[in-house]
This record gives sequence, structure tokens and C-alpha cells, in this order.
Amino acid sequence: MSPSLSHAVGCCLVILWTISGCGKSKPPPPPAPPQATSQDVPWFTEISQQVGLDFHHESGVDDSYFMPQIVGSGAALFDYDADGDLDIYLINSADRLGKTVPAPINRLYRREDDGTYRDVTTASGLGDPGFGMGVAIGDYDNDGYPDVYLANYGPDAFYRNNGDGSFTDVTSQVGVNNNEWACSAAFIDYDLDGYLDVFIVNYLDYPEPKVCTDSAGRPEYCGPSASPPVADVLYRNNGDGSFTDVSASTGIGAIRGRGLGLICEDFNDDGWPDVYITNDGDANFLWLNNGDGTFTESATITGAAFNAFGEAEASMGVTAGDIDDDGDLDLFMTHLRRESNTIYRNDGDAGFMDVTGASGLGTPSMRFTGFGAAFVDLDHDGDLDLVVANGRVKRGVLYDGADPQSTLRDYAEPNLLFLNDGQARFSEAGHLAGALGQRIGVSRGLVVGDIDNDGDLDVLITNCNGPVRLFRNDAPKQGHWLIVRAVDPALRRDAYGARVVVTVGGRKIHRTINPGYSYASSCDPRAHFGLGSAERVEEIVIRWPDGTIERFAGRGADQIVTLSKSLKLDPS
Amino acid sequence: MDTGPTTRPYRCTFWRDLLLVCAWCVVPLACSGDESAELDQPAEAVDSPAVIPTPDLRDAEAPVIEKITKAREQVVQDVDSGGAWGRLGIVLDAHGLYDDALPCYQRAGQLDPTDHRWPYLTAVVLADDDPMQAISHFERAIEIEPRSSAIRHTFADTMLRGGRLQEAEAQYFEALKLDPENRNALLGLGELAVRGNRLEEALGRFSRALELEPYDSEVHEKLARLYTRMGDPAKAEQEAMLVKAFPEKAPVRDPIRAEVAAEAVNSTSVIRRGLAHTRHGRDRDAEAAFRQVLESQPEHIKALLNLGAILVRQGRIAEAIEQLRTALSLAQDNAEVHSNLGVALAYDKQVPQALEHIQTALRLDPNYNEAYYNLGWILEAQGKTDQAQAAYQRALELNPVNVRAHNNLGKVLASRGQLDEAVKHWRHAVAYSRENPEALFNLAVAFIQQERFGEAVSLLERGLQQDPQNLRMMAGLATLLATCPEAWHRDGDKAVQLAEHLVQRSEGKHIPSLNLLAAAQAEAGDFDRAVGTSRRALELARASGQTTLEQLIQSRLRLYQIRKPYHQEPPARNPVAPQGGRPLEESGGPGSLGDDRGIRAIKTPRR
Repeated sequence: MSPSLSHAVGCCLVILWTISGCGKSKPPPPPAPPQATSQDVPWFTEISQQVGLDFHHESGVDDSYFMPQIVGSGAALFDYDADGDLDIYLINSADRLGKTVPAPINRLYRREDDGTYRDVTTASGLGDPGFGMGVAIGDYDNDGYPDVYLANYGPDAFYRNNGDGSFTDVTSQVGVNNNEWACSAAFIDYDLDGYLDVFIVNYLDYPEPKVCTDSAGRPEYCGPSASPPVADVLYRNNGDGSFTDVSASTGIGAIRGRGLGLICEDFNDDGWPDVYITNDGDANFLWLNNGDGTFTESATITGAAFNAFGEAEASMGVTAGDIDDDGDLDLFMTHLRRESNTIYRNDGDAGFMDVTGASGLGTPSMRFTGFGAAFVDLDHDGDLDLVVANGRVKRGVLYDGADPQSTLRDYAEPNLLFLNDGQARFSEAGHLAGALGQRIGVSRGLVVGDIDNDGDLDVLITNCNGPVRLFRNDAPKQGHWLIVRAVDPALRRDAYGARVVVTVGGRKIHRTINPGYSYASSCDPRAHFGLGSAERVEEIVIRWPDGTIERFAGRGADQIVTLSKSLKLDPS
Repeated sequence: MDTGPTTRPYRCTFWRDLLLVCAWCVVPLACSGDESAELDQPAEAVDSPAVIPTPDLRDAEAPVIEKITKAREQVVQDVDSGGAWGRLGIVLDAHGLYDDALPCYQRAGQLDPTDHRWPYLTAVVLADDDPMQAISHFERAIEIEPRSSAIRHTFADTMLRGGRLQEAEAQYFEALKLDPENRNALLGLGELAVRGNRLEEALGRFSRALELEPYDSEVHEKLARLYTRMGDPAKAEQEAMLVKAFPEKAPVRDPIRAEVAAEAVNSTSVIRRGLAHTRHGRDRDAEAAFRQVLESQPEHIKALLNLGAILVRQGRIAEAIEQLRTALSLAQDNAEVHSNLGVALAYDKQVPQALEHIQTALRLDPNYNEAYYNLGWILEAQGKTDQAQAAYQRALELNPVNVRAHNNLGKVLASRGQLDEAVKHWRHAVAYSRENPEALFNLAVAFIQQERFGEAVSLLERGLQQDPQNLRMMAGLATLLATCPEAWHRDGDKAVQLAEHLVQRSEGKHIPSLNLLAAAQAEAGDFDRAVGTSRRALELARASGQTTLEQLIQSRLRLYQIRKPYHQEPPARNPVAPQGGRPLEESGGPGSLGDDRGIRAIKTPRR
């Protein structure tokens, strides 16, 4: 047998990172909206300036086509000071040449009683200067205060919440040392020992800038295939404030990919949290938890690795929700222009089925490059709608409304809003999106949460080399709502991985306690329910992460409730 | 027409203005409407602006600029030529300039409404942005050319993307009627059957597609999830492994889109074309492609790397080393360059230097499975089989479908008597590769050792199908067919055919081939000829002083003279000698094959 001589393809693989021609044509027409009527009140109003959010993401764009400059960054909505409302943490990139003054750092904004946000970065100590990509929020030491993991290009960082409004960098102390280019991370109690572990999605082995070319041979950011893939990393929480890299023993480290996003949920309903990884141009991974400290990669056999055409798409962000009301979690992920976004319906033991075409989510997304995404019942009609943040990774035609002064103006795209008709059939609703659809940027992170605790979920979108935008949900409501915070008092924290089932008029609505989805971001950890016309819920059932099931009495709608796990429950 | 300077920050206005003037001189401006609105209309209803697109080619590669410029000039010279517009569209499309290609296709369709390519290509470009906008153009293309299976299945794919399943199904059926071997139509219909929970029907469709394209990742992927749906996890896992082994989708059989792809002259496309040549053994074409890129970009790492690899494959080691050293001077931290240079140096017998480069590759990329394989290959050649085995095993940990590592690890294990383990690896090597005569042969020999003669015959037949001129395979199969201990595997007539070919190749001078032919003739019942052939072999053996061989032939001759064929005894369970990569006369051959000496002496061309 002869030796292996590797053959390499040129730097820019247009299959994966498709370009569009610059110049001639008008931009692709915006999604064709139905004719607006007087009842078409915009569902989103941008309030960033109004509430004092002045963050501008900086990635040090220059002529180097340095990939990390176009890939970040995310954001988090979390209640860092435990005062009952959501604060905002925004990830910044960095200027590799050090020209940007002051140097970009992450920023924490505290929500004040008057609804404005105050920059408390300095006092908090969360102004991490790393080349930031993603963020994960979770209380690793079970002290009641959520901590922060930062997925960076270069060394990641881990900050412990001191409980007094400040954070301490404990990266070296806890024993995490991921130095790869990480894009997303999430806290997951994979071994169900009560302590949150950390799963980190690494993107590429990309040590230094390199310029690629598009199909016409013009300089452009490289696509993922120009760099080797890397393995993801799982750190097990030892319960004593330290972590151990268990990537090898769990099997996670055995396969390399070009990961961008992740979501940790119990996809096969066996009680153990699994992990779905979106890879850029490679088959996606579904790590099914074997319940014995190991995982098995099962995306291909379950039908969640490739789309209906057998294509490994350029997957970016990912979210999950029970769109067909059958009690399991369906997957939605975003892709490049000329690939549609894709939705995989969870068919239980039969695996997943790409139902993008029938869902109506495919065609309207083909013109755009999607990143962050979230299922959310925006109008409380009882079904999950969808918001998607878009922004290219290759130059394209300039959209009206894009900031002509922006260095990345040729990468800007509008964001999308999709409405669910209640039958898991979605329609693009640009005419209702209001500011969310009108602010053209290179959007990346998308986080949802009820920032004003008014019962509906608002949306925050980050923009690469652009301003953060906070959109208040002003959708005319079709019904009532309920927000459930599920807490395990023994662990003194939100019960990540818990499944909350609300019964309304005999219908069971399934949601989970999980902030880690979308792209590089962390969302409101509370479960949100649109209830339609029901003024009360008949029952709330929670399956706690340890498998115990607890029933809570019915109650009136339109309230935020905190449900605590009974200390008497026995997992056996 | 023009969306304004703010929308085109990179435009080269001089060129645009010049050509626009040229175009406007001769083409009446037919429309000043919104281009995007026009795209909704079918081709014949569109009155596209006759403005020649001016793509932004600033910093584009020179061959691309040249190609597009020429195509534009053709349009300028003959603005009423649908062919010229269409060709410009094709050239722009081939270089990813879809927005510029689109109006060209549309104009071509207006000027030449009888050519189905223009509405079809219009549809294809539109379908990638908005499938529903493309429908009318597909319909127009089908109206002009109703016999194209490719247009039908592409249309069906588009409908499937748009969720219009019944229309998709109808078009897939039409495509299949027109071309019963249309893989896309089979896969599409299978996909729709899965959606309809008609799983057996889906299995039939996918299985047929698999017959047509056994190494298509898409077929295996669809089978993997179908088997999961059918409750057969073992088969699902098996198919999932094959997806890893064959990661590429089979090319779509679409002559029109192939015409577009062939026009691409950017370096990435040319390199990709070169790699396709490499995969099909067209080394000269591959070399030409890589050199073409290097002509305009002498420091193109990928081109240097691939050229070096193809030169090694051709045995042009000194040239390969030169190219790879150039690559190394440009990219000292490139693990692939180090690994490939290491291989070239090993061929050049510069083993210490070769090992140094391989180790550097592994330092740069500790997970580079091919470098581990190369390390094993060099160590094995040095006789360091323990270390080689460890390297192969590491390569397989990193990539369980590395077929070379499976094959060579099998050899190492077999040489130690671990035949069952070796068989496992050779099985993997065969399963995970399109063509792997060496692994096939090694596995066949192992089966003979294990007295699994039927499986050995099947493998050798398969090996000969893959490589009809493989003399080692031919000799092995002829030997089994002539002398197999189990009668039901013997086929004297076929053995005679194969053995005669071997004798002809050696111009009748190769003694073991003559000996094999005699055995085959005897098995076929032609003892007179067997005696004659055997005597000739005997004379040659005597003349050359090969006494051992002479004795062997004499013992067989005695059998033929009493009209008895020669059949082997069941072999002892001996370890199989290593085979991979070396001609049989070097490696010692498969120890217990009855007429192995006949095989061994044949000059087997190195593949």
C-alpha cells in the first residue's frame, strides 16, 4: 500500500461559503410581504438608545481578511445580581493590530429600576479583553449566582460571580484551558450529579490570518474548509470548584468538526441531556448521552446530520422547540445564502426528518446567511414563532438601509420574522417585523428574554462591527401567557435541563429550562408559554433533571411564577 | 438600471462605462423597470435590460478577468446573439457572479427562445435564491425540451425545497421515465416515500440508486436514516460508516450545468478539476491542471502540494521533492506539506529526513491521521513493525475509515499470525474504499488460509473487475478455479482463459504460468493439452536449472498423464505474508496458494 499523499483544494470552497456577485443587480428583493393593513402594528420597536445601550461591537476589520473578524459575537441575558430582572452582557472581539482605542472589551449592562441599562463593566470585572465569540451562563458552584464562561478566539475565560456585583477570573483556578478558536459554549449537567459541566464548541484550527479568494478569484474571507477542523471540549465539574477535561473519556474529543453552535437538550427523551452541534460545512453532530459518562455521535443515523438532499450544510446557529406539539424537541438551524435554513422534525424513535420545505421556513431564507435564531411565541397565540438574525460572511450587494459608513456594509442583511400558523407552517412576516426587519446589519447573536417582565419575550441582536440592538416586543397579543422559573433549592440555581409541561384546555405545552441556544449566546433561562385564550393553566408538570416528576397546581395566567423542586422528591 | 454608486462600492467604472456605451449604441433599451420585479415573469415575458453586466473584478484572478472580458466582447460585437449573451451568462455563473449571470441568461432567452438552456439556467440561478420564482422558467425550459431528465429532476428538487411535494413527485417520475438511471429522481422519489411512511418503497428506490452509485454519500446517508426508521440500527450504523468512508456526493448528471462548471478558470476550480483527474487516475491531466494554476500563481501552496503529490505517484520523485520544497519555503507550518515531503524523501531513500518531516507534520497537527499512516509506512519499511503498528492504530483512532491504515495494519497483524484480526482490518479496507486491489487480494489470501474458498473466489473476481490487468489477481483466481480443494468452486474453462492470458503476457516463457495453464487445462478435461503444456514447462525448468520447480512440474505431469487433474490439499493455517505495496516477487506471495510460485514470478506492475 502506498503512502498517503494529501490533496488539498483551494482556499475558498464556494460550496460552503457562497459568494454573490458584487455590484450589478439590486440586492435580492426583501421578502415579499402581504399588503400592510392598519392592523399591522410593528411587532418590534428598537429601544437600544432609549434604554442606554450604547455598545458597539469591534472586530478590528482591516485588509487582512482575518476570519474571526467576521464571525463574532454573541450576548447573554441573565440576572447577574439576582434582583429579578435581566441584565445584558455583550461580547466584544478584539483588534489584532491594537489600533482601536480604547481596546475592545466585553461589557455588562445592569438593568435599573427605571428600565434603563447602566454600564457596570468596570465594577463587575467582566470587561474581558479576549477576542470574544460566545458566552455561556450557568451557576457552576451552586451558590445562587450565575457565572460566566467565555468562548474566545484564543484562550477562553471563566468568571465566577462573587454575589456582590463583581466577578473573579477563575480560568486557571478551575482548570479550564481551551485555547482553540471557540465560538459557542453551554452549561450542561451531563452526568446528572447536580453540578453544571461546560461544553465548548471549537471552530477551526486557524492560527493566523490568511486571505482566500471567491469564485472570481477576488480576495475574501476564507471559508471553513480552508482550515482544519478541531475537536470540541467537555469539562466535567468536579463539584469542588474545579473542572476536568473529559473530552477523551466521553468520546467527544474523538471527532473533529468545524463547530459554531450548540444546544443541549434531551432529544431522545431518555432522561439524559444530549448535545447537538452545528458544524460549518461538515455534517452536524448529535451526541446522544449514553448515561454512563460517554456519548455516541448519532446524527447520521438519526437523520440530523444532512439535509433532505444529503448535503452537509454550513450550519451556524441552532435552536429547538416543540413546534408540532408532540412533546419532543424539533431542531432548527441557520445556514449560508443559497442554502435554506433547515428544520428537522423529531419523530421519536424514527429519528429526525427534514421538513424545511413543508414548514415554509426554507424558501424565504435562501437569500440570507443566518446566525442566531430562536423559537418564541411572540403574540401568545400558543404556538412558536421564529426570529432569525442574518449577516453574510462573503461580500454581496448592498441593501438599502445598511450603514454606508460601515466597514462591513457589503455583508449586512435584514433579519427575519416568521409566524407559525399553529400547524407548524411558517410564513415570513417582514411587514410585521418593524425595526427588527429594518435594521440592516451583520447580525450574529440573537437572544430572547422578557427584559421588562411584562410577560412577552423581547429580542436583542448583536451585529459584527456594529451596534447592539434591543427590540421590545410590541406584538398585539392573541392571548395570555405564563413564565415559569424552575429552581432546584438544593442546588440553589435554575434547573437547567428541566422539562416544563403546562396543560391548557387539555393541551400540553412543552418547554425546557435551557438558556443555551441561538448562536454564541445565552438567553433568558425561564420557560415562556403563550396560552392563547386560556385565562388559567390546569396543571404544571416539571420533569426535573434527575428524572423526578412533580406536579404543581393550576393557576391563573399572566404571571411569572417560580416553582421550586420539592426537597422530598426521591429520584428513585 | 443602475442601482447607483452607493450600492456598488467596488465597481470599475471605466470599464463599465465604456462597454455600456458600446452596448447602448446598438441595443435599444427595452425596459427601465425594476429588475427584481421582472424576475418573477417567465422568460418570454421578460424584456430584460440590454445592459451588459459589469461585475466587479477588482483584484480578481487574471484568467478569470480574461475569460469574462472575452465573453463580454462577444456580446458587444453581436448584441443580438442569444448565444453570446448565454455564454457570457455561463462564464459569469461559473465564477459565482450569479447576479450578473441572471440578466444575461434572460436576455439570451429573449433573443434565442428555442434554446432550452437559457430558461433552465435562469431557473437554476433563481432557484438558489428563491425556488418559487424559478418555477415558470423551469416550465418554459421543459416546454422547449421535454426530453431532458436533468431539467425534470432539478425542477423536482426545487419543488421539494419549496414543500410542493406532489409536484415534485410528478417531476421525479417524469425524470425517471426519461432516464431510468437518474439517481436524483430515484433519491427524490425515495425521499418522498419516506415522508409518506412507505418505507419499503423508499428502500427499493435507494437500493436502486446504490446500484448506480455505490460510493455516493447521499445514498448511504439516506439508507442510514431509513434503516433507523425501519428499526434496524445495525444496518443504519453500517451505512453511517459508509457515509464517512465515501464523503462525496455523486456528481449530478446534468450536461447543462456541467457545461457551466467546465468554464470556471479560477484557481480553486482548476485545482478541484485536477483532483477529479487524480481520483480517476488521469495523472497527466491532473498535473496539467496544477501547473496551469502555478503559471499565474507560482506561490499557490495548494497547487504546489497537489503537484508534488501527483509527481510522487508517477514516480518522479526528484521533481516532487523540488515542488514540495518550494511549498515548504512558502508555508513552513503546513502539516500537509511536511507530510507529503516526508513521503517523497522516503521514496528517495532519505529516511531520516523523511521521518523528521513526518514528525514535524504531527507536531504541527497532532490529529493528522494521514501523517500517522505515513509514519507507519516508513517504519514498516524499516522493519520496525511494533512502531509501525502503533502508528497505524493511531491513524485509525483518528479516522476509522483510513483504508490504507487498515490494509497495512492487517499486513502487520497477519505477519504475526493474528489472521482473524488482520481479516477484520482488510474487511474494513475493502468496505471503505472504491477500489482497493491490494486489500482485496490480501483478504482473498486470508480467506484461502481460512478455507473460505468461495469468498476468496468472489473477492478475486471483484478485484479483477476493478483492475482487469492485475496479474496477481488473475493468477490467484486462475489458481483457485483450477485447483481449489472444494470442487464446487472450480471452473476449468475460466481458469484456462485466465492462465492463457498470463502465458501470453510472458510470451510463453514463464514457467509457473505454464504450470498453472496445465493445471487449468487438466481441470477443464483437456488432458492432452495439459500434458503438452506441462512438458513445455518442464523443458524450460530443466533448461534454466530450476530443479525444485522441475520436480513439482513432473509430479503434476504424472497426474495429467493418467488423466487426473491436480487439486490442492486444504491449506495449513499459516500466517499470510505481507502483501501491501510490493510486487509479489518481493513480498514472498501468499504462502499456501498451491501455485503461488507461478504468481510470484510474474512481474506485477506497481499501481
